[in-house]
Amino acid sequence: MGEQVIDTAQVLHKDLTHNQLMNLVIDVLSLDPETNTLHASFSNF
Amino acid sequence: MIDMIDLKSLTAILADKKEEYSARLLERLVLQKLPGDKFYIYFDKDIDSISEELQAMQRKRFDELVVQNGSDQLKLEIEDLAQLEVSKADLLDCPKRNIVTVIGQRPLKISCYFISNLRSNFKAKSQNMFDWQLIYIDAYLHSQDLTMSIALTEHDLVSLVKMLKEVT
Repeated sequence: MGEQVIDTAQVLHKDLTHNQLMNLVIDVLSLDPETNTLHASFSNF
Repeated sequence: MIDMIDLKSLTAILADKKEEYSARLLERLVLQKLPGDKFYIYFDKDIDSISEELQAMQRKRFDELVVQNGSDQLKLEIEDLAQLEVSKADLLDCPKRNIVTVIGQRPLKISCYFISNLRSNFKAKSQNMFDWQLIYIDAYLHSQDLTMSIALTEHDLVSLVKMLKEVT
């Protein structure tokens, strides 16, 4: 499993631009309205 | 729709209900007699396909895995941004990308800084995959004149990919 993850990340490294990385990050951001804090989670996918 | 479903999951689902889905596929087949002894066979698109049901099954499996993991929240390598000792001046030197988007029904201006020259003593678990050490994110909420920040390291990104692979 670990090796697969690294392989995927290496593909990301080769292919992703800063804009694409930003979009990936935004997709996993969530906002807690109670505390006004940002979190990274994968439930938005 | 079908190509969005993981092939392994699809095969497992179809294997479990082979006879039922075979029967439903046959129900969608329309046989049209042409002049002579020829027939034209096609799928009737007006009859419900099984793709929606398969997606619902996959969604259920996703939810089950999320529950198994206990939390869907990524444990970030940097929990306290203060330890980074990143100043606004430091951020000015970094590649930056901006976007305005909606998160949690709030419009936010997001700024991503790709930091490669950390001056603090913090040492991220480098994966040596990117030319930056971390992505520093500022989110500006205009309605409250409030800026929120978060930082993701290479290690966080790999963890994220791992989570995604586990649930898909």
